[in-house]
Amino acid sequence: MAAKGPARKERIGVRVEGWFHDHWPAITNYAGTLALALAGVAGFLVADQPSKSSTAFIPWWPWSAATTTAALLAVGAVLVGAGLLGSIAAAKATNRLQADLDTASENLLVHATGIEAVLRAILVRICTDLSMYRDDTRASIYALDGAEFVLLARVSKSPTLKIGGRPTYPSDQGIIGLAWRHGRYSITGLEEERDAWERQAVSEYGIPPEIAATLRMQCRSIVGIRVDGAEPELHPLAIVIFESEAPRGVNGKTIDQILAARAWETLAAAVKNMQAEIEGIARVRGVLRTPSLGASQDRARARS
Amino acid sequence: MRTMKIRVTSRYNVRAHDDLASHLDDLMSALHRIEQQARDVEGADVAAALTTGIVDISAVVTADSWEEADHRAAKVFADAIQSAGGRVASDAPAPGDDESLTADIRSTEMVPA
Repeated sequence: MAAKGPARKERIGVRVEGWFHDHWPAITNYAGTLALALAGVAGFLVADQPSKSSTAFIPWWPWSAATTTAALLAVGAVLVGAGLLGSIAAAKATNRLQADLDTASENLLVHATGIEAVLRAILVRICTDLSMYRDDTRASIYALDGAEFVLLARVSKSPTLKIGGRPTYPSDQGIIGLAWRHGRYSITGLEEERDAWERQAVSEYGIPPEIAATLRMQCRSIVGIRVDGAEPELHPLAIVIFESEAPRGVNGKTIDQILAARAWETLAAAVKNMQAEIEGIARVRGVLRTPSLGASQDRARARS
Repeated sequence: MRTMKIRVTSRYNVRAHDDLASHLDDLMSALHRIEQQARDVEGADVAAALTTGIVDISAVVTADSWEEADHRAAKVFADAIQSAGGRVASDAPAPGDDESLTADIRSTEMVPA
């Protein structure tokens, strides 16, 4: 308990110092402005009573009104000037940082689009090899960022189904979360009628009703396979979801076929080798909350 | 092939299929009998929501592939249902064919070894 007092004082000291460091141009500006205002008051008194300009206008004040006015003017001008120079320097530093940040973001987005293209190409290969590159089927790969899944890439022969949906997906909702927890998961025979399907999504898989109503694809069978890192940690890296609009379009047998596919090995190896990049992209995508990497890049281009 | 433990859950809507609801105790007993006799089946369970007419039957199957686990579970569940006095849809093809899976919904999940 005894160490808490000094440590707290030290922390407060550091915070005050940091605050002053961050805000000194503004503080100096305000102080200079105050000095100039006081100089104005003192100058007014001198102008009002010129006969007293050489005498002390406050009994205990050692300087005459004229000297005080001149001193306040000088101090005010110096402080305002210093504050102005500080503000200009801070603005230049901020602009440099913003330019660096913009460049880094654009580079990352270009990089992310490249990784997305690689993942898409491998997913198309897997789907084609297993006769799943169809109008009623799609494959998506997600990475976890905190408590949410972020879509990395999605493929489907159908232009409608391959459009990115929500920017992030809560990890405790839907089949993605189940597949992430179990490592492998399949479900078949989901409801055929749309209203019943939405009720099922809400009551059994924890999808919010307003989200269930907006889901574009009414998938009736889903398979999820988690990609883990190398042994011994087997740290989960990504989850690949295959969805079909047919009641048994994908099923347990599909898991066997996917795991046996050569392109799956390629995908797993790519994910493991690009682990750091994928985690970075997931973080940026989670922050930007854009439906696709391409959209992020388009936005960056539009800004520039 | 690597041997895996896979939990297979099949959902039956008793209004659409056979009257499993009235045979729940018999169904559980039948599943336990199969569990004792078969070395590749364990952790069998039955969960029923009689208000909605839904019966979930599940079991952990040890298999070399997901397809094998799926088919094995379908066979075990069909045997248990018949043994409990229920009836698997008569127009369904033999278990083993994908299209023969008479459950309304089926989920499979990896079980830690």
